[in-house]
Amino acid sequence: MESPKAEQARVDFRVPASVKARFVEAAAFENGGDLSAFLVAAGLERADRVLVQRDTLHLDEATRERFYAAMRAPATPSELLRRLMNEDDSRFRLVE
Amino acid sequence: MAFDCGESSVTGYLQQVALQAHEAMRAATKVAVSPADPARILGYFTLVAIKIIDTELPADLAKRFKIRNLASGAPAILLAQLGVDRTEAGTGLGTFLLRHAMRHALSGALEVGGVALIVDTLNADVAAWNTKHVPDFRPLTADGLRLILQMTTLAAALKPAP
Repeated sequence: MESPKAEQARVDFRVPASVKARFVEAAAFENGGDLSAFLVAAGLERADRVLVQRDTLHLDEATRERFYAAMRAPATPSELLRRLMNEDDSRFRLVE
Repeated sequence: MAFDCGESSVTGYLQQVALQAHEAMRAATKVAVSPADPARILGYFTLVAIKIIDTELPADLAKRFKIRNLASGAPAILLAQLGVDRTEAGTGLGTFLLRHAMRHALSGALEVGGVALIVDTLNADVAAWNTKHVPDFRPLTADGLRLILQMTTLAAALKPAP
């Protein structure tokens, strides 16, 4: 939960009137009519689902064989990879 | 001049999401600068710790990973974002970022575990750029946009050639 003093940001977007009416109707049912709270809750729920999907890779029929083949491949790096990993470039610097 | 890599999702991630995600420790972003102008971001990459889950595990890999199955997940590192400012295209900054992304992924894997590096690419050109520089990447998805490299290969690449 964000603290009340957390930095605030504004989200602006336009939707068709019919879509807004649907939001308002749903907000009245679930959030006591607070449209912003309803949209924030809905958006966060969706964002969490998407990020969990990103952070968890479920192997399926299409990816299973490729994943296991990659895991079984000999751990012998190509010359290009070896060179790339061991070179450096002083023209650039990495920072956080 | 603000960072712009020419791909709105990659530019937008750095401008709107990266800092918050980094501070919340959901993802780690590193930026590249020029020593002569350290205030200007020239490129960046973002790594995320992910889990690979499956209902089963072939016997040979179960033995190697010393687990029965992947139901609770095998750790991996995802290179989720990598962007180079338009002004730096063709300078070698992309390979600089890829090198450091792989080194950081390996370092994280050595500390907390990670069986593979997964790379999400935006389109076929970006996927081809990755495999041109690291032919060891293999496609993980049918569209070839998600690539995989086992972490032991990265570890071997840092050792002197036999």
